[in-house]
Formats: sequence, C-alpha cells, structure tokens
Amino acid sequence: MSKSDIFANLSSIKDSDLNVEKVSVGKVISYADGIVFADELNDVQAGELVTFGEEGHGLVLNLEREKVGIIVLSGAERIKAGDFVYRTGKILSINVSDEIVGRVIDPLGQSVDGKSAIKKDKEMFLEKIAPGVIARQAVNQPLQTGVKAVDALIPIGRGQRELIIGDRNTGKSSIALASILNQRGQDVICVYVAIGQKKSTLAQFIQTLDDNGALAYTVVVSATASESASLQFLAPYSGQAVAEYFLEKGKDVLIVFDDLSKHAQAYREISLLLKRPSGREAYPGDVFYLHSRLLERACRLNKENGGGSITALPIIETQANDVSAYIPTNVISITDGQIYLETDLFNSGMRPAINIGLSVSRVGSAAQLKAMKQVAGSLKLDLAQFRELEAFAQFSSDLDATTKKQLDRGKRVSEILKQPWDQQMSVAEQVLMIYAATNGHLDGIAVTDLVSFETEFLSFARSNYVDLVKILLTGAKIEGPQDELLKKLIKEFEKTHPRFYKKEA
Amino acid sequence: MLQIDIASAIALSDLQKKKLESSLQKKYSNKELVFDYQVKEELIGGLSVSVAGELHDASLRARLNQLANKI
Amino acid sequence: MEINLAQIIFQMINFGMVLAALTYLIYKPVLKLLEDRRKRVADAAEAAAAVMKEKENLEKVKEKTLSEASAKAKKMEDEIRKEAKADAKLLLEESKSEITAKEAKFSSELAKLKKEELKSMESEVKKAALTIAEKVLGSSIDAKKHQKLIDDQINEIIESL
Repeated sequence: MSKSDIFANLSSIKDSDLNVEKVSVGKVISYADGIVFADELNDVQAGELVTFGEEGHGLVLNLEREKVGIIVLSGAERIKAGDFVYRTGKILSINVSDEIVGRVIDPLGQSVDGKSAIKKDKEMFLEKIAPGVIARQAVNQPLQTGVKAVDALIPIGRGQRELIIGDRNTGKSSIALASILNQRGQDVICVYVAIGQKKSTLAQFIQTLDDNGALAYTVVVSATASESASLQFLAPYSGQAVAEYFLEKGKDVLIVFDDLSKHAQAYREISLLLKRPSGREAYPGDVFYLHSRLLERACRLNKENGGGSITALPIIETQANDVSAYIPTNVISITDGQIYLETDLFNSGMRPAINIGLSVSRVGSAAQLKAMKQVAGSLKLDLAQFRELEAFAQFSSDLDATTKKQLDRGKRVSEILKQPWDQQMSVAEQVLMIYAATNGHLDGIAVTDLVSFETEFLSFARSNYVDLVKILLTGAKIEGPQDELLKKLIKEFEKTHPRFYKKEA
Repeated sequence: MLQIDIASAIALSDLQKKKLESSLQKKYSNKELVFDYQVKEELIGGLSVSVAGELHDASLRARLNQLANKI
Repeated sequence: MEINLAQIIFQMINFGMVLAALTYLIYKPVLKLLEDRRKRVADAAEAAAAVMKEKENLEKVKEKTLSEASAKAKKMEDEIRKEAKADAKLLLEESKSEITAKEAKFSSELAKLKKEELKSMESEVKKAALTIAEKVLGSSIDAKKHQKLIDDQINEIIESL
C-alpha cells in the first residue's frame, strides 16, 4: 500500500457520519477464579467473544435467565464489579501464517518465545465442525514413528488418532517426542500442545526439539500449569486450529496433546466454577463431547479437498494402571487404538515400556508398509507364543526342545524391541532387525549381546549393502532377489563377525 | 424497576439531569426508574446512557472508536 | 745261490693266498665304503637342488602376489579418486544451486519485508492520528464546551432511544 492510499483513507473521515453508538452491553456482577458473571447482555450467543473495555477478553460459556457465565482469557487484573461487558459478535479465532512454524505460542495465538509477533495470514476458528464423511479418505499411508515396537506392532497411519496411555513416568511424552523427531525431512508439520505441564519440562522439551533440528517444522502451543484453567481448556483447540491451517494447504500434520487428562481437569474446574451440574468423578456431563469433538477433527482428506491429513496422538495419564477410570475409557473409545505403557515393564528395563498385548491400532495395519507387514506378521506370532509360554515356563524346569526354542526366540524378539527414545530407526533398519529375529538368525546370539549386535549389524548392512537398504527404505514387498540378498547379508555378517556366534559353538 | 447508568466526562448540571430523566420516564412510563450517575474522564467529552443492556454512547471516545474502525 | 723251484712255487702260492685274503678282507669293504660315500654325496646334492628349485618357485609366487596387490591398490586408488571427483562435482553443483535458491529466497523475502514495513507504517500513522485527535480534543474542550457538548448529546440520545 502506498502513502497516498493512507491519506485517501484518512480523508474519508471527513465524509463519514458519526452517530450515537448503540451497542449491547452487560455489567459485571461478580468476578472470581477466572469466571465473570454478567447481567443483561440479552442477545449474546454461547461461544461468543466479549471484551471488558479495551484490554480484557472473555468467552461466553453459560447463558442463563438472569446472568451470563464468562471465562476470562486476558486482562483479568483490571476487571471491577460494575464494568461494562461488550459483545463483539465474533467467535474465538487465532491468526495463523506459515511463519508460525518453529514458534511457541499461547492458546490465543500470541508468541511467547520472545521473538517477533506472528504475522496474520488467515483467521482460524478454535471451534470448528470436523470435515464430513464425503471429504474424507481411508487411512492408508503410514506415519513412521521410528520406534520399532510401534511401527511393527501398533502401526499408525496418517489421519489416525492413536492414544498414548500410561502412568506418570512411563515414557509417554518420549514416544510422542520420538515421533516428532522422526518426521525430519518427511514434509510433515508437527504441533505439540502442552497442557498443564511444568514450565521447566516444556523448556527442556523445546530445547530437545531445537537440538535435534525438529523445531524447524514444529509449532508448540503452550498452556503451562501457571496459565489459567480457561487457557488450558482452549489450548488443544488452538493446536487443532493451527493444524487445520496446514491441513487446508494439503500438508500432513502430526499433533500431540500432552496431556488430555489435565485438559479434562481444567474443564472440570471451569464447569464447577460455572456451577454446571457435575457427574462421575465430578466431571461435567459434556466431558465426552469435549474430547470427541476435538479428536474428530483429526482426519485424512481426499484428493479433491487437498489430500492433507491430521494425525493426532493424545496422551492420557492413568493412576495406578487404571485404564477403566472415566477419562481414559472415554478417550480410548474415541481413538483408533492405544499404546499402553506400564510401570512394571519400564522398571524391568523394557523401554519403550509398551505392553504389546494391551496395545492395539485399529486402522494402522492397513496403512503399514508392505515389507514391514511381511516381517511383522511372524513377529506378532512369536511374541504371542512367547507370552503364553513365559508364565507357564516359570513352573517347570525341564522343557522339551520346541518349547525351549520358542522361549529363546521370544526372549530375543522382545529384546530387539527395546530402543532408546532418542534413536529413531528408519524402515530399512527396522525391517532388517525384525527379519533377522523372526527368521531365527539371532537364536545363536546371547541375549546380552543383542544391543551391540544391532549396532554392528546395521552399520555393516548400511556400508556393504547400500542397494538393499535403499530398496527396503521404500517399504516395497520383499521378494525373491531381496530375500536372497538378505540371506547373503546375514551369512556374510556371520563370517566377518564370529565373536557374536561363539556361544553356539 | 429499571436501572439506568449515566456516565459523563464532567458532572451533569441539575437541569441536564432533569431533562434526561423526564424524557427517559416518558419512554419507560410504566416502570420505576433508578438513575445512577458517574463521571468518567476517559469519555473525553459528552455522555453515555445504558438502559436495559443497551449502551447509547454519544461520547467523543465512542466517536473516536468509530473513526478508528473506519480507517 | 740257486733258485729253488719248490720254494718259488711255495712263495707264489703263499702270495696268492695273502692276496686272496687281503682282497676279501680289506679291498671289498673299502670299496663298499667308497661306494656308500659316493651315494651320500649324490643324495645331498640332489636334496640341495630340490631346495634350490623350491626357493625359486617361492620367489616366483611372491613376485606374483606383490604385483597383484599393487595392481589392486592402484585400481582402488583410481576408483576412490574417481568417486571423490564425482562427489566434489556434485557438491559444487549442489552448493551452486543452493546459492541461487538462497538468492531468490532472499530477494523475495526482502520484497515481503518491504511490503510488511509499509503496512505496519500505515497502522502506525493511523494510531498516531487517533492519539493526536484524542489529545487535541481533550485539551481543546473547556467547561463551556463540555456543557454545550452534553446538551447536544442529551438531545441526540433522547432521539436515539
């Protein structure tokens, strides 16, 4: 815009007609705990944004006969009884542009990382109806998390909602973090929504993202424990709004809600303060809808609608492994599967501490890569047999040869599923390891040697079988020639690294 | 009973109050009116009247806001 | 002295017997000894020749391996050199294209920045205009004007009610 335009604009003031302004207002009756009750405001709508003078903002949640319940979003410190509450006629939205990638924002879309303000490109509504059935497409593309146990056994597809559930300190956020780190160079935008977390934890999380170069494609929506309940309540919706901005551009988005139990608690707080009737565990009646409308917005659109996707990884924290509590059962029923983490497994050194038996993915296997599907089939079988025999084998000492073999196989298979959280593996590496395990090539190696075996085996494959690794990376089905090559690779490794195989002799 | 809030940049004179009150009483003839006067310097000049959830703002502040929205 | 035939004959027979005895007792063993010695020497010479031959063979093998190894090394070196050259070329091309891409990005960003600057200037001007208006209005209104304004506005409000 040139300067003359500005002055033309200013000179239009001359002609403008200024009347007595008639606006709908209410008056603050009471303000406590982030909740304002205001009278009058007769024509206000539920979910409408209201202002308290110049600075403060609020969101109308309750409409009653005599008063309106408003949650305060900003400017709470200036509110006095008797203040006017003005309608705006707008519903809550945040400004999003491409610049938002790599930034940390609060639930209202303001940057909180001390860098410049985020330019506006589009106003995205926080509340939005999820895309309809016609606009959607079946989930059939994998989203690789880089975690062997997840990619092989509980595969996640683009557009899927996979719950990560477990007690505190079982590595829930680590799986989410690993999934984000593994999207580097995959043209996937990641959104991480921190709800009710400690600021120190979040700072460390962001630092890890930055150190691994993952902040370049990640947006962090931060509503830490110091933020008001209303902001914590809005945070997942802002995260979803950011994700939808990129969805509309046809991009694939991964969104992590860490965690939704705190979100439910924040909503419970608001609801109780608004004097809504409470139900089980004092949660309000619409706590199911709270999460279902949020997670339903995760989707995979068809070609006509841009072909983008939003994959959601909500996190739920359980108390003492109780998955049948109110919020966990609700979210389990909304999502397309869950990754179940257990303290006992975590303490016994199984990391990630995924309980394979209780974890499922309801759509993922349709989206799994062909090669992975091929090798993972027998992996599942091996593990199932192992679990069945494991308990049984503790009682009897002398076992027949077949049982012993199955037990040995099972031990090795569960050993190779261990993986440090910060070492993501490519499809090729995962397929190589699982192929070796399920085809019995590890049976001669001591269980304790498997970790060093893995590193050496993979680096051997990477340096000596470049073409094979390249083919495996595409995830194409393993056919005759590749199978031959795989066998040759293992044989050659056996010859050049005899120290792993000593035990057999 | 209907409460009417009147805010002005400087205190109103009795004559002005009377004029407002009588015309408002005429409009809401079947109701008992309660008037509440306030001085708000941030209005810059003029006054605003709020009746039954509707704010009639004639002050200079409101007009400046209107201008701000226009340009 | 006369020659005694009988004695001569006796002497001859005697000599013959001594000769026979000597031949049997000494000549033959000595001959055998000599033969043995000769044989030993010949054997040793043969063995020496075999060792010599073997040595030659070994040397040949050694030479062959050496030449093979050096050829291999040369080949490898060539390959590595070739690869490195290709890599360098690729890197150069990559960095070249990167530079051009960066240039393009930079100039487009500059244009964007300029646009944004203008836009923000516009809003600044608006803000300034309003603040000035506010200040001017605030200070230019005295008590008399206030009263007049309020009188006017009372009428306006009554109209709008």
